[in-house]
Amino acid sequence: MNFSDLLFLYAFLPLCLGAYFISKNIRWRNGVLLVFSLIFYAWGDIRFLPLLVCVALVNYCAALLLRRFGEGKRSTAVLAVGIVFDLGLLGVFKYTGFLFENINGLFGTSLEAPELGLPLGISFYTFRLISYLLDVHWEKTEPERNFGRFLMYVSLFPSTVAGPIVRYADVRESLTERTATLHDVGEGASRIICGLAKKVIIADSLAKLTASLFGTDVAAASVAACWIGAAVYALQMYFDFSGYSDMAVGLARMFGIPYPENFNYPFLCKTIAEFWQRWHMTLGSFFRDYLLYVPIFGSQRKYLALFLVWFSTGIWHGAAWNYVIWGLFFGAFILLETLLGKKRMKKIPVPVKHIYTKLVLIIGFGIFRFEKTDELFAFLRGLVGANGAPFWEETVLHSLANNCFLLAAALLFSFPVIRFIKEKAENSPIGVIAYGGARLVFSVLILLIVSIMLVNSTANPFLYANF
Amino acid sequence: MANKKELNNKIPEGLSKERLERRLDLVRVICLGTVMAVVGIGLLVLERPTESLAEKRKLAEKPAFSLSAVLDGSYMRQMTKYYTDTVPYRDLLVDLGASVPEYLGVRVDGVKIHGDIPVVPPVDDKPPVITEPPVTTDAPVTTEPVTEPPVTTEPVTTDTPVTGEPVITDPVTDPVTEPVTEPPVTEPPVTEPPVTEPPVTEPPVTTAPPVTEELPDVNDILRENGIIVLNKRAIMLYYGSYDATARYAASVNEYKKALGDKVNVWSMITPTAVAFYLPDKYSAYTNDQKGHIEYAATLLQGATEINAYAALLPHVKENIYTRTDHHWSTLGAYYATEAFAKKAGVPFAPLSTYKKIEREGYVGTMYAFTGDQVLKNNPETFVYYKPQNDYSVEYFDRNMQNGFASSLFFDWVDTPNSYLVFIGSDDRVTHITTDCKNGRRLFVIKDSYGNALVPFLTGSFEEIWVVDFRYFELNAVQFMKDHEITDFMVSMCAFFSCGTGVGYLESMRTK
Repeated sequence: MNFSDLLFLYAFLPLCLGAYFISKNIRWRNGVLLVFSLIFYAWGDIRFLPLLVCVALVNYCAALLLRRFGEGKRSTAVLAVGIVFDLGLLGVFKYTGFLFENINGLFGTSLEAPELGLPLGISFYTFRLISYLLDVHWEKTEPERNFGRFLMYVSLFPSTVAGPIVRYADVRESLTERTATLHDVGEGASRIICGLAKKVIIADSLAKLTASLFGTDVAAASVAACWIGAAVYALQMYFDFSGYSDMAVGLARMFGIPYPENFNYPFLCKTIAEFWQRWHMTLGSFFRDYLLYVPIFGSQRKYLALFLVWFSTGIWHGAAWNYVIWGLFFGAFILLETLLGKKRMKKIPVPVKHIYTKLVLIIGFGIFRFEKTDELFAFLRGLVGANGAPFWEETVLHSLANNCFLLAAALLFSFPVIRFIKEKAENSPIGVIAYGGARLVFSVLILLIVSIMLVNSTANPFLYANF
Repeated sequence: MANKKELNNKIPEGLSKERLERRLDLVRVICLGTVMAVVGIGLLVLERPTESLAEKRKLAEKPAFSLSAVLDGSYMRQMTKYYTDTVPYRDLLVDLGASVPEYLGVRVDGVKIHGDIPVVPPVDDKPPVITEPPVTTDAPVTTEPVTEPPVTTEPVTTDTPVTGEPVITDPVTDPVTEPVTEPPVTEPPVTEPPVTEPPVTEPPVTTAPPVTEELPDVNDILRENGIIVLNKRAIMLYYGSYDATARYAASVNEYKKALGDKVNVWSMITPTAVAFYLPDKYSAYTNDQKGHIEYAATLLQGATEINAYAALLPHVKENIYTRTDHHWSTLGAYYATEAFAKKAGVPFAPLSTYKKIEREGYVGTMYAFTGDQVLKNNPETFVYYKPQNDYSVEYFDRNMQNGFASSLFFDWVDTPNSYLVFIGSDDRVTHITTDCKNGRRLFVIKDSYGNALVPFLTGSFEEIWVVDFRYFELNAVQFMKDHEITDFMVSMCAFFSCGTGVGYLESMRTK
């Protein structure tokens, strides 16, 4: 089950909201959230539900021990064990296959990787737990003493599957005391619908356009198809991921839990460093706060830290070399910008900076798309016409024309147009009413359109009667 | 703060900004909550469909609850599928949803692309090149592409020459009530293998390899093909290959070997719309169907080719293919069957002797696959012809059980399923006994394209057995021997005969 399933929207969520708001106090409400979160997780992948509970228990105990031991070697040892345990599980489940694949490739062996499966949301909850342990160790937050509450934080369904990486410190207060006002519920619902529109109407349609542009064999795609395909893919990824984050933030808000924002119009960026301050912000801040400035690197090892951050960023996204290359690709440009310095960067004309960042982003997202190495290199060759494919092909024109309004909408909404309209509208009472009314009408319409599209997405016509 | 004050000043007395926003919030929560509640309750209480007419399939069934199903996750997966698959008014909603992509853009020159349209690299698909084994070490090695038929025990004569066909460059318009402007039809260029290519040393396959691989779901594969809608005609792109074609020909040759001289073996590879109606500028997106059909003819040994491509080519301006479906039309089937009858030396009734039946408002599978609104809004007339001679028809299960007498035509099928009007279903064995007493007994292995040609043969053979290449469960060779068949025809469209269906054909011979 995911947020864009009809079962979630019209059965799970109403039941959860109903049970939540008829519950009288915070204890009951937390109980409702915990039960529904565990059901949500089990519905997605029941095999790994015990693992989730076990990991939560280990980290819960580790944090209590950290507080008990205070500073000193014992505390450091507990911290190390906790982090190694968390990262170890992530490594085993996510990267074992990748490791075997590389060993086989390097040594010509044919070792078979064990079929472990990938626990739902492990990349996200591992980072949440590491941030928790470190914050407790650095005394930025108190450890949670109620395991039920802690399990609720770890398994909270709005952020289980795809983030954002919510730190315990950010939501700690709301776990024990919170109110969800009518405004919160309304804003949360609107945010969910906004996320649904981004995901179902825009991102899923862009995904078809991307597939159409690249075709089934990227080596045969024209130069134009490679560039435009990668640009469309960048938009697709933005609307897909930010749509999901919108839904997560909206869901949490309906329960009165303040989730951090994960995206801030990343295509407005004028530098690659700025892009990463606007894209998947909770991941960026995680690496910044817990890895980049960790004292072990010191000032002499700035470049090593930078390399490690971007290597980690890459491989966190997936167990394949293209993700590593993708991470290091961005790391290289951030290094370049660092070496140039803020003053020199400021002197570069803004249009030039926009062109530079967009070109880097297009190539970067192209790298992100192709997990298979041969396809990745075919794409990179395709960008400069080294595959022998033509510069232009007729179908590119038709693919773009068939989706021109979609592309216009995607470009428009990747900039803060709605925010601008809202700010203007708030200047007058008529504006407030008009904006509120328009938002309501659009919300209802979008919810209905999305629902219809979700039904249509399951259409599976047969050539011949198959009754 | 100044803004707030200013704003509050403009708001009518007694209604602060906060109160206004609270009221708007209340309205918003009530409206969205009502929508969610109404839809949610509707999904709960309204009757859920069990099958979809539009998609021609049974819908997901509600899973039975069991602890083991919960623990292995199958209960939850199946329940999620059931909940979405059986939404009340599903066909209507799917139809509505299909219209959304139409509003995402415009069509240039009436073209809409559906699915992935890969460029087909010519280098991936070329006829194998034979290198003659050197007689002596000094003898020069000659390499030449296979363009001549290999020496066969029975030379194949072709009534309709493959070369010298008229090249049509006029715009093709469908002779139906609504004017349809088609792009100019020119023959796609046959991609010849470059001479400089390193020769493949293996001779062409003349003996079919044993069937060891798992047979693919050919229907699924076909559904994944890219589709281009040109004005009002949908064209499914074609990804057959010379390699598969060689395997097909080898299989037909094996049938001939197994059946011996007493049985005439006929091979008709049916071209699809892409061979005639795809403009040259899109030829890079499809493989060379005409080249494959011609190549198969050169590899047949003892079997005789029926060149359906050549038979259809003079009629491209007529309604020989459906516009909204992936099949040919009955008229197209008539011309191809006529070519077969001529070559087989059997009587053949002219079209004027058949009873013509028309069904208005036909929109076929290509709409179901694409949801293309132009196809939906431009239905066609489905025409079929009933022979007027005497014949009787009985049907059997795939393994020749449970026979029953019935009609050759299933006139009662609903309009979207009009192509099912011929022999009703692919998964039954059809047996036709006719008043044509010429001692010729025909066995046809066909795909759904073949369904449309069966009615045109009732005046040509005394008995006709028809089986589908995907579903017949008996050994086809033994079956033909048991029923003293005199003529055996393989009639499959190029998608299958030059593509994914060859394994089935072999399996039917060797099982």
